[in-house]
Amino acid sequence: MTRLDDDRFFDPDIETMSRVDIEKLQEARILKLVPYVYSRSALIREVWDEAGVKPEDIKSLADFKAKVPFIDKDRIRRYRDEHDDPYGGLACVGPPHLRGVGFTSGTTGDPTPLPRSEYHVAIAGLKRELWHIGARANDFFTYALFTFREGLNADKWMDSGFRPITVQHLPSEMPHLVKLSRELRPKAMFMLSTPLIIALEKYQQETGDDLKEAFSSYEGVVFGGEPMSPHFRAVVEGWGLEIFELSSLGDIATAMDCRAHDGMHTWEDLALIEHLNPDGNEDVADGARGELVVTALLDDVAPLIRYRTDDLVQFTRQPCSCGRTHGRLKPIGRKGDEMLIQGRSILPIDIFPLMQQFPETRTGLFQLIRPQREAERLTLRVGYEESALEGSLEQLQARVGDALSTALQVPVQVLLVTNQALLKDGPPNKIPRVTKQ
Amino acid sequence: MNIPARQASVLSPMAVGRYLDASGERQALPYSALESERSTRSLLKVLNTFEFSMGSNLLITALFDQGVQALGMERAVMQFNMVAVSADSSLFDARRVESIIRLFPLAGAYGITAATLDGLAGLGHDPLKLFAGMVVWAWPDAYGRLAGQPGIKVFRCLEVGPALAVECSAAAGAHIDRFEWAIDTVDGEVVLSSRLERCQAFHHYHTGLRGQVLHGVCSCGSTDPRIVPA
Repeated sequence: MTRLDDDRFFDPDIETMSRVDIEKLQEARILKLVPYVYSRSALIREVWDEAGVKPEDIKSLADFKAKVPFIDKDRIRRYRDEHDDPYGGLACVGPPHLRGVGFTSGTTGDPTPLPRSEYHVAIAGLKRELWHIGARANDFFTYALFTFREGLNADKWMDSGFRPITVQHLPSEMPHLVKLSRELRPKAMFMLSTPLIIALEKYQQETGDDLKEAFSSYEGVVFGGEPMSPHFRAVVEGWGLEIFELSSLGDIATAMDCRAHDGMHTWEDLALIEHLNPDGNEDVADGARGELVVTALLDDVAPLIRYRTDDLVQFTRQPCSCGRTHGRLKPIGRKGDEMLIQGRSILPIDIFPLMQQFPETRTGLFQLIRPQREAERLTLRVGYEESALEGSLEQLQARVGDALSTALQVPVQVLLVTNQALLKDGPPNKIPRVTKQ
Repeated sequence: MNIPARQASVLSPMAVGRYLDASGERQALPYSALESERSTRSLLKVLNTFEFSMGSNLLITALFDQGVQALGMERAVMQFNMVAVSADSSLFDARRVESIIRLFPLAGAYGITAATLDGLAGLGHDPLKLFAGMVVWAWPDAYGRLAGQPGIKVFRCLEVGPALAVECSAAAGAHIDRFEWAIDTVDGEVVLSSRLERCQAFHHYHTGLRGQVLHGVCSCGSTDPRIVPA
């Protein structure tokens, strides 16, 4: 097939680039970035000076990986607080090149600012994903982003020809989403979350509306924010929608799985990805569990440099059967969310599948209560659906506690609350899966 | 001058947002890059009536589905060489608004809602103290609570059906782009028609907004009509 007739990829030169060329591109961008960021970012200069690293020490990608020190969220916050700098010393430019500031969700403290120029790095990757789902020039897609991570960006899709239909990411807006889906026949839905699926399911039960028919124009729906529970996967697939799971790529871009559904594609032209021992600095084997460490390759406003994300992932650089060549990851959880119960590692991802075995808890709403990392007993707040309750609450508490304790092989204490009570404190896209109390 | 031109062609949308009809129902609002550019230019005239310093920060709060109507304001702020700092105008995102106010020196805040004020109060903050000294554009539900309060410089922003109106420093009604919209009142209701090519034309559109439309010269120097809600 010639390029004239091959429309599998939005950006074929990038998406199918050989590993050698990916590394050549990364090296070119890194060598340009190193003197730029050292001369402009106060935090990077401070961290590199402490480590005795100068830009002239970095002559290759290998030098960069061997010599450049790491930064993490705590270091950025410390710089921010000590210097009264909202950008944590990362900003390399001011206005007019600095145009706007979005934020991370802020689940672990003050939201981290994400300053940007006219160029939205994350959207560069998302265009490739929506194309893969099936969107083409002049197609609509429903666009229900969680928050203003990117500011207002309805005009940032024009070079793809995709037309976003902006929808508020709120359960109450789901009838509007259904109406727009029928009117405008969008090709992709970006994006669903657990609370939105609960709202759509309820809408369908209450109105009798045929969501399979309403959503028949979609070639795929993006789900994100957390792992998808098997129950909700079945619900969404029942509407005739193929699900593409999406995760953040260390606050630089996003990663999403493809039709092969064998890991989420990262974009290694946007981010240099390292996959390191969570308790050390060395590489871990391809496909093994490691910590995601990222360097922004196309951000000239406030690039993260060797940023330890705290995200535990499995990562492989093996090419995918879909034809793309960039590395793929499978999220495991946040290092900071991990609990050691009698020395055994427990993460939220271990709990999700266990919630399916009881009709009352199959929505998968739960929270690990984590006052500290280590404990003798796992305490879980578990949401239940009142209408599905079989027997007493005490019986449900005992059933769930026993089943989890057997599966996880640690003592488990279950605190039951209604699903509605867990959902009401927001945010609108998910519930916090780990809480101190 | 104010007779709407017959629309010869329909612009191709770059995005679809929403507007609220007279009964408060959401309706799809297809929107083009050209409409966005015209909105930006119109709102730059409003920004120019304030003494903002280039390089300063301005908080823009909105809901994501206001993404096309609010785009002109965000782009005007950027073209003014200010930095647009973004948050949702929802109850839940009041936490982010407070964090931004604490961390960023802000010259102003656009799009403040009653939900944001309630959220801030729920977190134990006094909105009047947080917004003290800033230029604050507030939607009608928040404007009524902030206007006349000591230390607050509050101005109106209004959704007028598919159109946006924003008050200048004279604080004598929210300006609406006179080249984009023909506007007047009919029996006390604001009614408008589009005058230029759009993705969707509006003709004698009854917005459901009750109030006055003031034509003539504003003390800011603009002759764009001003809307003063009842």
